[in-house]
Amino acid sequence: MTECRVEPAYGAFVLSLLERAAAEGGGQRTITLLPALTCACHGGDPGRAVPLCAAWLLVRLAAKLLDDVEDGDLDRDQPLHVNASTGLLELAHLSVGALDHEAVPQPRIALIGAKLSRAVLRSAGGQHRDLSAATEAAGLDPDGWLAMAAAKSGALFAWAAWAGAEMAGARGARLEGYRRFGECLGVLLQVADDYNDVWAPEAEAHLRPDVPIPSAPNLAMAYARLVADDVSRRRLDEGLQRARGGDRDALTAAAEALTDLGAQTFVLAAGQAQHHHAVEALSDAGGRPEFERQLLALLDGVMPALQIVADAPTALKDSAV
Amino acid sequence: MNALARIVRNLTLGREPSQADLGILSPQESAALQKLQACVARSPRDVAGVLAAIGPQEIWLSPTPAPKQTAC
Repeated sequence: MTECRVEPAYGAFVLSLLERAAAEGGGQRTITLLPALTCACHGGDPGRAVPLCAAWLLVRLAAKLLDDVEDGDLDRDQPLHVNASTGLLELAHLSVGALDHEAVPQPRIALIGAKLSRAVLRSAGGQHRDLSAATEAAGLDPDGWLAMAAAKSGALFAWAAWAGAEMAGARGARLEGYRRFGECLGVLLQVADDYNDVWAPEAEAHLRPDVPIPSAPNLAMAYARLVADDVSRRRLDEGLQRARGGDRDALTAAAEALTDLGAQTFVLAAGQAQHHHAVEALSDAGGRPEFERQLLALLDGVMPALQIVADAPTALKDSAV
Repeated sequence: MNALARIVRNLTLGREPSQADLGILSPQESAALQKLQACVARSPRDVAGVLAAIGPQEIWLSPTPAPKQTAC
C-alpha cells in the first residue's frame, strides 16, 4: 500500500476490513490456509504458500463485500465497500506476484495469476446467474443451481486448492485432483449455506438481524420448483411472498412445506454427493496422509449433519414415534 | 441433480423411483442415496426432528467483517 502511494484513509479502511477478516478463527482460518494445506499435502513447504493464502483471503473478502452490497445487507457505506473490494482484488494479484520472493519461477507466477483472473471471472458469472434467478419466476432447477454454485463458489475454492498444489510441483491428474477437491468443497459450503437459510436461520442471527428468506436460487427451493405440483408450488410462493413482507409465521410454514416435500433429505443427499466427489478427488491427488487428513477434517466440518445421519442411522430409527 | 431430486421425491411419497432416473444418477449420487437410506426411509418430519437437534451447519463461505444492517 505504501509503495503504491495509496491514500492513507483508504489504506486504513482496507486494512481494518482485512484485520477483521484475518481475526476469524476456527474453520474460517483453516479455509484461509487451504493453499498452504494443499501445498504441504503435495510435499511442498507450506511457508512458501503464504502469499497464496493472502491472495485467497483478499479475494474472498472482496467477494463477500460485493455480495453484501448486492444483497442489500449493508446499511451504510456501500460505495466505500465497493471501492474497497476493487482494491482488495488488485492486492490479491500483487500477493500472487509476491511469490517472486519465494523463488517461484516467473512463468509459474504468471500462470497462477492468470488462473486467479479466470476464477474471479467465472465466480462473477455465477453470481450474475444467482442474482438474475432471484428475479425470475421460474428460478433455477437443481441442475441449474449446481452449475451456478460451481461457478460462484466452486471456481474460487478450486483455484485456492489448485494453486497451493501447483506451487508444490503437482501436475496432471494429481493436480486436477486437488482442483476438484477445492471445487467440491466450495459447492458443499454453498449447500450448507442454503440448508441454514431454511432450517437453521439462527446460524446467521449474530451477523444479520433479519431472517433470510429462501429465494429462487436456494437449493431447497430449486428442488421444490422441480418436484412440487402446481398447487403446492403456488402455495409455497405465496407463503414466501408473505414471509418477505415480515410474516414470521409464513416463513415457518414455508420451511415446513419444504420439509414435507422432502427438500431437507434432498439437500442432505446433494451435500453427501459433493462430499463423495471431494473424497474421491483428494484420493486421486495422492498426497501425504497427514495433510490429507487435515483436508478431510475441513471437509467433514462443513455439514456435520451428513456425518450424523450417515454414520448413526440408529439416531433416525430411534426417533420413530 | 434433477434425477436425484425426482428420486428423493418419489421415495418421500413411498413410490419406487423410475429406472430412467436411477440410470442417470452419477456414482457419487448413488453412493449418497445409499448412505442416507435410513434418512430417506423415514418421514420428512422425523428427519427434521433429528436434524433440528444438530443445529446449523458451518458458515465458512466467506469472511464477514462488514457491519450489517441494524434493526430499526
